[in-house]
Amino acid sequence: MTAWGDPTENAQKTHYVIQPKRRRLLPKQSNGHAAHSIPFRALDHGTELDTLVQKRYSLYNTIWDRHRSKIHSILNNSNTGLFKELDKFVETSPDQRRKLQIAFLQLSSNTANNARVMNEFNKYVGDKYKVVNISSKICGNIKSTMREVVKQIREDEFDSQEEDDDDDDDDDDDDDDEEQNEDSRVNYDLDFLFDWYLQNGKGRHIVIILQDATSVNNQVINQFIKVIYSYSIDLPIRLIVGLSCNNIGSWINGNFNNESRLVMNGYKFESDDKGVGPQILEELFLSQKVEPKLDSSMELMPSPLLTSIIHTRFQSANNSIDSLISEIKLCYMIHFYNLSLSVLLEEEPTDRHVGSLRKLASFKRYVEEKLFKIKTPEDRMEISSLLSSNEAIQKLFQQAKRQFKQYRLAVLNLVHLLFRLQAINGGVKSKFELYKLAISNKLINSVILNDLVKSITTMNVDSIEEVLNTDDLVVCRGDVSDDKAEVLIGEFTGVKEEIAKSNSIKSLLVRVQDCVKEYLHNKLINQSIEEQLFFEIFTINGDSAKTKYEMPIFEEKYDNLMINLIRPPLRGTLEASLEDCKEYLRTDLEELASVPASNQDVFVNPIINQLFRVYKEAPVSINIYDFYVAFKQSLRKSDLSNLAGSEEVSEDEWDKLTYSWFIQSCFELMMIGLLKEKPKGDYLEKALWKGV
Amino acid sequence: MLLEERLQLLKKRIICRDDEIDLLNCFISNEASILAPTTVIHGYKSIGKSFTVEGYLKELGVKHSIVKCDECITKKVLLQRCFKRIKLDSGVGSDYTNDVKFGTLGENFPSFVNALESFTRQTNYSDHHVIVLDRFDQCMEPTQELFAAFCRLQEQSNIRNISIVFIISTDDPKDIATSSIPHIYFRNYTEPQVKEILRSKQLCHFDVDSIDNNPASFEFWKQYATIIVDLYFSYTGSDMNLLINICETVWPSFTQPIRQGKYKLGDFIKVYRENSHLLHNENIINNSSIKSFKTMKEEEDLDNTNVQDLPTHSKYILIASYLASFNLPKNDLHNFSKLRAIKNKKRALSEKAKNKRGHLGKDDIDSRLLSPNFFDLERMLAILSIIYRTNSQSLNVTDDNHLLNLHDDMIKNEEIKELERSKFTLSRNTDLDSQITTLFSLGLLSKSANSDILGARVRWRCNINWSTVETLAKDTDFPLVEYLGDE
Repeated sequence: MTAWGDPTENAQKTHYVIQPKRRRLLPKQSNGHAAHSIPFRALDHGTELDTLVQKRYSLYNTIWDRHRSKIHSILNNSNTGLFKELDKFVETSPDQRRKLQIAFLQLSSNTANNARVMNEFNKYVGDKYKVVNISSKICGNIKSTMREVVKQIREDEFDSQEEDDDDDDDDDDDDDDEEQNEDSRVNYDLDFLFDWYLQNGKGRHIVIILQDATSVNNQVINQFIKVIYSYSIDLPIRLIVGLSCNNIGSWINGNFNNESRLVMNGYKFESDDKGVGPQILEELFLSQKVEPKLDSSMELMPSPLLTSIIHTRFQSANNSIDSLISEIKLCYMIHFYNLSLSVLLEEEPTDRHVGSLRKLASFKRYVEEKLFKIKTPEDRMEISSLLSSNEAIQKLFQQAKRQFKQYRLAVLNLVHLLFRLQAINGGVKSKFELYKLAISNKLINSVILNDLVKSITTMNVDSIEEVLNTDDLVVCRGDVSDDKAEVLIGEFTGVKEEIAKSNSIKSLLVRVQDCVKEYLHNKLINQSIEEQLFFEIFTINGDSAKTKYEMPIFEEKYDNLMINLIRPPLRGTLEASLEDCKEYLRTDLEELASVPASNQDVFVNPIINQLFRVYKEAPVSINIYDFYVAFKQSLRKSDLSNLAGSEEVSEDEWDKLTYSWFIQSCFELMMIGLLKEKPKGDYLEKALWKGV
Repeated sequence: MLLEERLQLLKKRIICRDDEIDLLNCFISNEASILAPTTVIHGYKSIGKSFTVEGYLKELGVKHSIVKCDECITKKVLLQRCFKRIKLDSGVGSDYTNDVKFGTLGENFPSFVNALESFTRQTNYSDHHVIVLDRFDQCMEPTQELFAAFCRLQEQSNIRNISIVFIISTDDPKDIATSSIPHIYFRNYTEPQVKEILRSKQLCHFDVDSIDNNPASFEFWKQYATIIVDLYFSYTGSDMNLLINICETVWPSFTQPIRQGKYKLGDFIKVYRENSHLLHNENIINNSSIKSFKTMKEEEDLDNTNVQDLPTHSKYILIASYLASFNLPKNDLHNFSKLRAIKNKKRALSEKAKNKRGHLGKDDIDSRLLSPNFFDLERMLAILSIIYRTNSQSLNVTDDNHLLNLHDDMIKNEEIKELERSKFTLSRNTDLDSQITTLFSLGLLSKSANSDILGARVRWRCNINWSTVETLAKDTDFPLVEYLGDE
């Protein structure tokens, strides 16, 4: 557990977590398979070979490791500038006035990203300084804050000495637990700093990081600064304060009292990782860099659906880097976990795979298209061989693989070219967005593209030179090449030379425009990714959450398994399952299984479902008696009396039964949070509104 | 008691405090018989109370300990520090080991007295000792009862050689009877006095030896101090700390021309004329402007809140919470429903009501001027889904503007769209909840009392002002005014 994640704190709580005791956890499942260490299961009803499962797992690992190292290098490099500055700040000795040196760190509005920046700084500094991390959670009052500071400084001591008091976590604010130190100081007395400094700290700076000062009570901050200041005169203490606001000056004005302002000497630092999210996406999926080692291997492409989900989520709901990374990771995981064909990225298709390949939608469509185009008997022969001969499929698969690589190369070249054109015209779409449009074949013939191509003729020399700079286009990658791009680059170099000779620019611009137009007449980039044969194997889409998934029109409604796992639709699930419990109880699967006929006809919905139906029709505040009567009316006595055990249920007993059901279900609804008891009167209040 | 000539020396060193020094001389002395057990020193902040007392005690040569109470987090720490200082300053405590466990010391006042008694008994410490409790009223825990306890220290214990000096800046606490305790009031400095004090010592230097050694540099300082006091006395009053801080802040840039050799030390007026803009800068007074470490440039003025880089949904949540806070729930149907009948009805009613009352009510005040009301989470979510459905770009501005892909079944699509839109809700997944908590921890939303964030009783309130929500609305192209209840 890091210093940020104190389990006792719940200011950020969005859900309760029940942690079962260790001994109650289920024993590890001993599967018959030899490959214990592999979390992947054998697919195809368990008939998949162990070696293939292993292959899938290792493929996932190699691919994700590669991505992870890329992500790490981006993240590590994103803030080095800032960290160097901070380091310099800590080393700088204060001027004669001996004020408290404070670094105000201007952070983004995403608290998760901020915490990450701070954690990275901790790692960056390492053991060079004594770092104390404080977050707003423990800054309820000055006493608890100081206690935390002392505790973290003392950690050194504890590490060196024996440590066996495990349950030292209860940081209640009671005065009873003010355990005394060996030198008999109260555990929030900062005088301890002197002793520590004399013993261990000589020459080491003490850096206190206040992670999120925006949510700390300003009285506590002022007291904190006062106390720290009184020690900073004799000890090399530096304070780093993380803030999420635009104007630090006015924040200080609003939160510091004059006294604090007089004793501090503040500097402003800016975090510069604002564009890391898009950068990661580009580096992972749109990178054109030729890496010699990995060049021949296959790269997976994200499908339009996934692209759109990741993009809209990042843009409009949660711009946290960590959540982005876990989304991508989960997609890969799902792909290799779920798809037995995913081994074909490296393996040759075996006979077993061929059958699966034939069942893919893209193959079916391919064959259908062929059927329409039948002209000669050879065509007919070809189709029948595809359907019967395994070799034909294997050959076709190799073709498709190559074709897909070509497609990828062409699309990425297109995206890079358009991004550059767009940037010159002051466009706002990111590369990832352009990629999304390109692979769903929405780009060609679009207004955007038309405008961009048109704009070429009105460019000046500088911007046209930028257009002609084709460093980011890759002609050849492994065994495939993009001929159209090669032609384009050739033409562009020609134009460049002409410009150097200072020929009239007008005609050159037209020539450039023609080149681009010609380039866009590429059959490959005029296809969407789903028109590619066997695209299911070469794209990751995060799988669909439902068996029947209809694409909604609005991108914000897009939905897949990945996002369902990371951001579960709690409320919707709750409401849907209360309305119809079929998805969880008495599913189709269960019905298929042999259920004794006698039980089958008395299947009754759980009582809470019944009450929920009544609840849905009820007004905002519900009279309890009316509620009960309506509930009772909605039950059919004949169906339920069987459950009660006896054949005949008297009216009196029936009342009792329904009443007890009613009370129980009401409490259940209250526990879920759908009902609230009104403080006065015999009324219940709906806590959830319909359709919200 | 100090003799006359030493008193004069002291008064020369500590100027403008003659009367107060005389009074101190009356009550605090090195003879135990005329030493007042407790003295209260009282006066406005930063007017040299501690400085004078310390100077006097040093001159007097009596053993004394000064405890800065405003840096003590609790009373316990305060008492412990008192004891430690006495032990240290007495000069006899080095080989004393307490038999009272130090940890329990200061748990309450008797334990402190106990420890002190055993200390004096064991070490036979009988020198007169003065404890100065500086800024006693500013300890982080309330200290009223300690006041009375300290006053009765001599009555309730065998300790006779320790006397207490309280230095406070507020009025006398009610717990002590002032008549028996000597009370010295430090008057505020007048403007000429402030000038005299500042001019008497050169606080800032040029850091260039050739200039600093020049006697004219002191003259320059005097003129500089006079200017500063003239300009800022109306703001600072007799607060010396503030004045000294202003002097120090302005000095480096003010004397830049001299250090560069542009002017000589005698040319004060010229320097002043060139730099007069420095002295009229607002930042000098609010002293909250900070520099960027990288560029050493002052920060530009921006809007304070950090709302620009929030994700779109968070922006909508903020707008919805603003609407929920500033619209009355009874007008919700009027503001957010599409039903025309309700709108007309409401208007007719409100005019009638207006005529009836004839005086200003809460409804007549622009809601922007009122403080935000608390709202139920559910109500905000309802408002959110309404305004998001009807106004968000992603649901209402289609790609068709950018892309020329004409769908064959345009009309059918429109119907599906309408259906999808009417069912669209942001609270579908947990993203929304986590965003609300993020906004809460950023301080943009606040909740009632100290309740559990998941509890049913918790009520929320938006914590942003009109200008912020206006920028948000501009960012998201949201017609905010249409939804606000005021006509």
